[in-house]
Parts: sequence; structure tokens; C-alpha cells
Amino acid sequence: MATVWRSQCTFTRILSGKTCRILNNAADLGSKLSPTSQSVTSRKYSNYAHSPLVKHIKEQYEFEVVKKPPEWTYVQRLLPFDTIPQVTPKESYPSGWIPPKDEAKNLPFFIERTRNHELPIYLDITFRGMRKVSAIRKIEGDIWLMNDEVKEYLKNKYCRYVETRVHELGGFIEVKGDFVNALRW
Amino acid sequence: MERITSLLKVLWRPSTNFVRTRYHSEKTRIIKRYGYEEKLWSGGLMPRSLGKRLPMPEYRPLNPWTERRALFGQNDYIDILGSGELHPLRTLYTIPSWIKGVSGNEYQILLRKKKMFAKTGSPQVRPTKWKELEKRLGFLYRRLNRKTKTGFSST
Amino acid sequence: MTSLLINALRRIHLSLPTQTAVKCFSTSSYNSNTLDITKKDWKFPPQYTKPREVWIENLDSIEEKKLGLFELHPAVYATVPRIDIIHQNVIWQRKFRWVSWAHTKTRAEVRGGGRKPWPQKGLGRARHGSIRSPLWRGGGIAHGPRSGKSHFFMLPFHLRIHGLTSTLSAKLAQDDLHVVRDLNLPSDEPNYIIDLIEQRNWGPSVLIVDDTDIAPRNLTAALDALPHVNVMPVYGLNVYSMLKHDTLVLTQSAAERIEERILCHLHSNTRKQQAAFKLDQV
Repeated sequence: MATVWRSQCTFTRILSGKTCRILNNAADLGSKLSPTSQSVTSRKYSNYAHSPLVKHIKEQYEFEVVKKPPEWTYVQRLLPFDTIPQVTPKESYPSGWIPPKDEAKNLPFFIERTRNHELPIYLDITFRGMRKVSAIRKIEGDIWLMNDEVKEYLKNKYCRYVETRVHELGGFIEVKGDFVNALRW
Repeated sequence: MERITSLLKVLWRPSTNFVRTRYHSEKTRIIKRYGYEEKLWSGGLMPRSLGKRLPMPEYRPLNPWTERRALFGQNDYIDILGSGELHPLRTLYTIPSWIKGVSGNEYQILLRKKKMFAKTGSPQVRPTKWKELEKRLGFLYRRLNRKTKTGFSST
Repeated sequence: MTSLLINALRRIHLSLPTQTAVKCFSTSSYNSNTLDITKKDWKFPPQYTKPREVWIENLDSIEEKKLGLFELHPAVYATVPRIDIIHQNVIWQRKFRWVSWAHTKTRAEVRGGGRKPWPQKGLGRARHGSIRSPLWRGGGIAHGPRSGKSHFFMLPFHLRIHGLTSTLSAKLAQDDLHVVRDLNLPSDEPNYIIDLIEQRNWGPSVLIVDDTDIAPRNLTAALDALPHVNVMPVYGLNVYSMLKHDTLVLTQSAAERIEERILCHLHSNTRKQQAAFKLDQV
């Protein structure tokens, strides 16, 4: 099918316009290749028709690519993380952060940590502080059992009935009132 | 006994109510101008079988698998599934650049168009178009500033 | 109640593949080819939900052969399919590229009409100031569509990721997602593809997704005559196409690539992508 081939060509064109990559697979543009060097500065072309075709980039400097020299570790140290790193297990955490327990995975319901390894429990204040709703998100497993337990727990703790709302597909429970600190048991 | 009944007949007068009933089925068309033939059809709805038929366009089902329709939406998630350098907006080649990725009312879009076209040869090459653009901008400016409410500030 | 069912299914899923794998091992030994069972260790392993297992199929014969078992990450292929989010994604895909070019001329733009057609008084006719007034035939249009109406908006980044995962999960749950090892075909006949789709009950329209930009020659030549079978690279995958085509066929590398990209976004700082859309910054 011709579509894949064409999209590939367009992709190479976009990349050339955007980041000036060295692209040698521009087979369809072979007739238009010229040895002139492309400008090094990145430019975004608003119009596809006005963006230049892919060209071979003439190297300005002679260089040799060396793979993984010992100096590379120093460079790597400066690079930002591409993903948020895993927590290194410690005896105690001075910030008061509690690591997730392993035995929690065998319970009928489970709350996944957020990408920052925090508990996904939030307080939503609306109507200029008149309505406070605490939400527990990222619930997997039996959400209705968890709902019952949350209600029971808050009822025993505060000696009053609390209203909850369960979104089964979304996997979250909303509790009416500010119970964020109580829910982080 | 005779007297009592005759007395009652004199005294008792039942109240009668004259009801004038004229049902729809009994109605007839009022004959005016006798001898004149009514040209208007009064026999109800009419099938359009006689005379000229209403123009009915021929049904031509569109092909849902033309190349454009089959691949609609390709590269819309290129910033997620691709290398992350390219925004899906940059893959919309067919849309003119002055309106690509712009959201706003007519005034805002025209203002942007004018700004982008002012430096090109457009004012000289298409003077009428340019004049109408400026005219419309002036009209919209007056309408927005003098005739409409602004609403609450968003900040 | 539904969550109970889902939960039970998740638990069962752990024990199921081992049985089937054993059963298939016997059949595969009959076919005298080995079945490879891939257990993956992800950078972000699934916490609670068990990984989904799919068969790796082949495309080089019309009859379906199971070449192995493959694990898919539940955060990508086994999320709860939120139909509302899928719908939002489709609407976004249709709208963000939609520019309405419908155009009408106002009374100022229609040619002529500068002269008062007849005097204000004395003729017994209605008063009119211009022959291009909206009341006139051939006059301008009041409140008509003006050209260049943009319907652009950007759906939030994570809603779009959620749309992808929801659609992929729905496709997998409905048995409409198949994983093949590679896209090498023995012939470039379109009838081969038609027979293959018919034999495997893949539905008329099939979307094939590969990791690379360049599809094998046999496949592209065969699909030239079939408009309802399409090939896309991974970066071209989108919610609309997945819903338009009945079956989604991923190569093994494509499935891994999708998984890797989405997991990377789910576990990284996406503040930049989540920021409000600014036209000069994309």
C-alpha cells in the first residue's frame, strides 16, 4: 500500500524541517539531493509546501564517534531523568513518606501509587470553600468493598455518617467532607 | 286531583335550553359567486403523481474507504506514540497556516489573518479582498466594542 | 457487582494461561514447531492487575498458527474502557482539524446597492435604501457563515493517553486485537489477504500496525487493491482508525513499542505536555 511509504516520506520531511536530523533513507527525494549543508538552527515551518526537502547534511567538522567512554558517565549524570526513578528502599524516610506494602497486593482491592509514589488521595474545594470533597483515586479490585470499609472506618472515627460516591469505571471514591488526613491511614 | 294537576301545570314551567348543533360533517361549502369554478383544490392533501415530479437527487452512497477517509486521523497521537518532538498540529498539511491551531471568534481569526498577510503581496495583488477584510474588521470592532457586553474578566 | 466479576476474572487469568500453554505445547509438538512463551520484566511492572497474555500469530499461511505467548502490560492493554473518554477523543480528532469554509457575502460585500432604488415617499411602494439589503432577492446574507471558522481545541494530554489505552483495552477484550510476529507474506496477491481475513474471522476491515515506517513489499502490493485493509506505523496509530477498522493487528515489536511509549508517559513528568496549548510553542 502506498500510504505507508508516503507517510514515511512526510515524516522524514517534517523531521528535517524541525530538528535537522541526518536522514539517509530519503530514497524518493534522491533526485533532489544536493551536497549543500543545511542550517544548523532548528526552525519550524508553518507551511508544508514551504518547508525544504530533505538533504544530506554536510558535516562541518571531522569527528569520530566513540561509544561509551568512561567520560560518558559524567555526561549521563547531568542528563535529566526521562522517567521518574524508582524509590530506593530505606529503613526510614525523614519526610514521613510511607512506602507501599507488599502484602497490599493480596488484598481484594488495591490503590496504585501515583507516578510520584504518592497516595492518590486529594481534596477538592469548590464553591468558595463551601463544598469539600475528598477523593481516593486509582482504585483497582473490589471498589464496593472498599467503599463499605471507608464508610465504616470514618463512621467509627468521627461518630457520624459520611456520604460517599463510587465511580466504578473511573476507579475512584469521593467522600463528602475533608477526610484527607484520616484517609491516609 | 284534577285541580291540583292543572295548577301544577300552570305553576311549573320547565326551563328549556335551545341548543343549536351544527356538526362538521353537515357543513357545506358556502356557495358564493354561483357559476364560478373554484380553481383551488380543497380536497385535502394531494399525491404529487401528476405533472412535474419533484426533483429527487439520485442516491449516490459515498465510498467510506477512499484513502482520505480510510486513513482519517493518522498521526494525531504522534506526540505520544512518536518520538515526542512533533505536535499533531504540525501534521495537518492541508490547512492554511493562518488558521491552523487557532481558536477564537471571527474578529480574532481575521485579525490574525490580516497580521500574517499584511507583509505579503496580498494587499497589492488582491486589493478588493483586502479592502473587504479591513471593512469587516472595522465592522466587527465596532460591534464588539459598542454593541456587546464584555462579560467578567477571566483574570 | 461488575467489579467483583472483573476482580474474579483477573484472578482467574493467572491460572488460565498455564493450562492453555500446556495444551498447546502438545499440539505444537504435533506441528513440530516450538512455542515460545515470553515472560517480560517491565521497567514499571504491573502492581495489582495481572498481565494480559495474547497469542502470537503468523501471517505466512492462511491457516492460523500460534507461534507463542506474549505478555501485554495491563496499564496499557487492560484498563477499564471508558467509553466517554473514547468518545471525547474521537470528537477531538474530528474537530481539531476541522475548518469550516462556508462563506456568505454581507450586504456590504455584494456588488452594487449603493443607490436608493426609489424615492422614500410618494410612490406607494415600500421604503428601501439598497437593492442588496437582506430582504431583497440577490441581497446580502445577514448572520450567515463567515469563512474560516475554526473548531480547534486540544484535548488534555492524559485524556488522549487514556483514550488510546481505553481503545486498545476494548479491542483486546473484544478479541479484536491480534499480535503477529512479522508482516512477511508468501505472495503479493490481494486474494491471499482476503482469504486470510475470511479464514480467521477478522472482519472485513483490518488495520495493520508495524513498528517501522516501511512495510514489506508483498504486503503493500497486496493491499493496494484493498482499500479497507490499511497499514500504519506506530506513530500513526489513533483512536479514530482503531474504531473505524474492525480488527487491529499489531506486530510484536509494534505492541512493545506502543507499550513502551505509553508507559514512559505514564511514569514521567509531563508538566510540559499538560501545559495550556500555545500555538507558537508547538
